[in-house]
Amino acid sequence: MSDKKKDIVQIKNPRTGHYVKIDRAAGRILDHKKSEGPYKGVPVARPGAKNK
Amino acid sequence: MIYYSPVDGDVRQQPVEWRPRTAFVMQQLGGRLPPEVTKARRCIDRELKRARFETIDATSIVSGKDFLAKIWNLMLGCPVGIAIVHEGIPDATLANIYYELGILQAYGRETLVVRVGDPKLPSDTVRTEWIRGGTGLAKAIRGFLDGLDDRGRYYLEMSSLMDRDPLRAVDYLRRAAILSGDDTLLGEARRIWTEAAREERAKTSVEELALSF
Repeated sequence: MSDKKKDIVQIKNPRTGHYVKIDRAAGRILDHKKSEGPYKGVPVARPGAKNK
Repeated sequence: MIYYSPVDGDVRQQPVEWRPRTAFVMQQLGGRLPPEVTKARRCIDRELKRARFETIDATSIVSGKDFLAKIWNLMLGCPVGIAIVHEGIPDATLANIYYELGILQAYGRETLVVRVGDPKLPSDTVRTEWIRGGTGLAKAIRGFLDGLDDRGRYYLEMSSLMDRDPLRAVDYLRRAAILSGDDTLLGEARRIWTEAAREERAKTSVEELALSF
């Protein structure tokens, strides 16, 4: 897996119940999922794990 | 975050007085209130207390200064805003409530509308969470308040994920701190700020975006 890809994670927004895709290297939100469930092939950020 | 004074339009010079674990309740305060509104307010206060939130409203502080400025100072410091609307509210009061609700949403606070009776909501609030007053209000409020813990954890996690954009990371951290009441997060905010090397910031960081007008 490339370094770039490793920096992209997803997390569930409890307000909407939908996942948000984040580019950690760029420090920005890439996308808000419109449908249920997580993005395929994108790791889910582990709570409290600092995600380094 | 930059806040503008509603009085003169200039950037506010004084820091926001944060009020962790508080909820700003927006409702008609003067005049004759329908009994169901009084009952709803009592229920909201009870559930807020149960969830360790302090209730704040426009009467909480007597400043003797500009009323709008006072409301702003109170509101901005609160992580949560709850509006109580009902059919009998005078139009001017209702407009004030929606104005305050809009401010809170624009600044990323958690908001909820409690509909007592069957008031029509403005179309701009179509995305705003709302619940009905009356039977089931306590349970619905409890559900909303319990969900705030998840939101606090989400903001904390987002702060960690956004560390290449220090302003955004600190903003998420502050939202987590005022929702949870965990004042140790301030130390973490200071650490993010101190360790944030200018050259490592993302091209889309808040500071870089601020330079793109």
